[in-house]
Amino acid sequence: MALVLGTNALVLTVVASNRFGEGEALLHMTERELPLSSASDENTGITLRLRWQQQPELDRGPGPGWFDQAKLEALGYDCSVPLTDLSAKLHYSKATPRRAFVVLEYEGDAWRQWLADAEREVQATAEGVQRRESSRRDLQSANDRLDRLRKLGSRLIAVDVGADPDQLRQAYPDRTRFIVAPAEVNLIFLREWTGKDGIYHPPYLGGRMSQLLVQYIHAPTEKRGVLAHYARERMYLGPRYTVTIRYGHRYEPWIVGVEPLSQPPS
Amino acid sequence: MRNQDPRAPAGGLHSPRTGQQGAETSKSILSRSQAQHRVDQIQGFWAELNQLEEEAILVLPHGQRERVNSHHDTTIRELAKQFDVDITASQKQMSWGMRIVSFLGALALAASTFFFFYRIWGLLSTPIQVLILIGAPLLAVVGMEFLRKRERIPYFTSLIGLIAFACFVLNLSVLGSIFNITPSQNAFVAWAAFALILAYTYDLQLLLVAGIFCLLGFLSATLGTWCGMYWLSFGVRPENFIPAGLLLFALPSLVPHRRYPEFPTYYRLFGLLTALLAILILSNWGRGSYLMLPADEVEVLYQLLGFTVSGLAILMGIRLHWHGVTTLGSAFFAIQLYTKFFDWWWGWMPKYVFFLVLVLIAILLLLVFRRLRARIGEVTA
Repeated sequence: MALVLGTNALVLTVVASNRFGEGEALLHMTERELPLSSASDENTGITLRLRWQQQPELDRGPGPGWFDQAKLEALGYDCSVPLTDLSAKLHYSKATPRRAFVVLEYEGDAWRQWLADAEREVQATAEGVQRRESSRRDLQSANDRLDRLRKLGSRLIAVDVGADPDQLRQAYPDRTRFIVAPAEVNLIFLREWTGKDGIYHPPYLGGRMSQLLVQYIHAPTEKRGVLAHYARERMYLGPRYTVTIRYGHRYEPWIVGVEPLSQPPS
Repeated sequence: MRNQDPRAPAGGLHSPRTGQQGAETSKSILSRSQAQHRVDQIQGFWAELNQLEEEAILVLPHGQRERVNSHHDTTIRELAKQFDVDITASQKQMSWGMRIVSFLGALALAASTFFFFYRIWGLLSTPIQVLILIGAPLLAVVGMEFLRKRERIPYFTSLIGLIAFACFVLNLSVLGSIFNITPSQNAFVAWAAFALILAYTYDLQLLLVAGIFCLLGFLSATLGTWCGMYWLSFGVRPENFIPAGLLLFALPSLVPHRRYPEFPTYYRLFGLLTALLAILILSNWGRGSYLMLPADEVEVLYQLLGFTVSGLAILMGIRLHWHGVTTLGSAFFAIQLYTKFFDWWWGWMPKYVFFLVLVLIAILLLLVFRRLRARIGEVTA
């Protein structure tokens, strides 16, 4: 009995220490970033899933982006083996997932850049149609993707990663726009390759976030009224509610408020 | 045995005997399995004695027979009263049936508890959720204490014990969900401690197994974090399980279990099973190893290790009379062997020839083991 009471006391103390004071971050997001996770008759609890985006898969990009070898080394990965070494593939294939802290920016420059990239892709596809390299169906699909991104896409973008959350917070001090959250990261080794255009691409190391450690956020019973109304319908025209979410001193989130949206914002 | 009670005389005289010595014998027995073993010994003794009397090899004088009979009568009565042992074969079969039913009932009740809570929790306020989560395992432990005093064989105590464990698992995991706590391997320690405390307090083997699994999870995950990985990915490297398994295998040798004679077997079996399974996986999946070697080299290394460890397990099991260990070692030795045969021959050999070769190898091994067994018998004699 002492074990049960002691363990629960410890857990609740940890929760209290996380939620004490002003907290680490406070953001107002919408259903676009915090959609409902799937509902079921067997589970009356309501959970929101934190939806976020990171740079595209490395095999489609020209390089590692901001999550490069330097970042990987800062996270403790051993990147000392030269990438052109024969043993490089074996060495880097042994890298295991690690815990790190990721910085997520909400509706900032990263999101505007993301949109701009999607618009450029549509533009490139349109030019491809004129040169008869792409079909009209490709153009329609690209336009549909851009439209969905503008109305429904998550505006929470991963912009940085590090081992020390305090250092990250110092670099990104705006607590209403940047979240520092624990995540699992992986090392990716891209071997050299030559594109269809004949351009040679050297090997490089890059990183990727596989998941946030707290991805699902429970909605307390006291706040579930609005959410319960939408539990069985998916968002398709636009977000239907806003969520105020706070991150505590242990970088663990909780829902502070939920309000309905009268109509989807433009 | 010729009849239900093998102590009925096949011939010979009887003489009365006091119960004093029977009471002393039953006092030195600490557990139900020891008591059952003693009863089986007694019944085996009488079956053999009757056989010897029928063959006129040994006939006890009437007085002696009666004294022994009375002593055994008293012993069995005391043991039945204290430990509720099975005296007849039918009772033994019933007991097994009751254990299986108890286990299935406990599993069903645990599942029901889980699903019931998930069904209602969204309708309760957070403080009430927390109170129910903390109260459920406490209530179950109180129930165990209540039942323990009223049962000689802990069928219902075991059932409620499993519920208590399930409630405690639910307690911590749902608290984690409610307050969005970052997952940690430390929960395994709490669960292991809870299960082991109940197992040792109430002498419950099912809870011991639950505790062992939680301990294995914690040790393997912690080793993974020491090697730099995020703990939830500890399964990506099966080597994390090997030290944990071997540690639990060695635990009974380091910590005596005089009051719990059955418990060491579980530590050994599950510890060895964990280590051998990890080695078997790495024998076929070298990419999953920490070793900075090509996958095929890793697989060869672990195949050799697999044969060595299972061979050692067979040897230790025979020498130290750890029967489960011998069986487990033999099973994994055979699996490793047949896996190698598959790797070497399956691709190119006609299938009927492949299976025929396996049969011939099995016959060869039987002949070898028969010869070894005879040699061991000669040496022992």
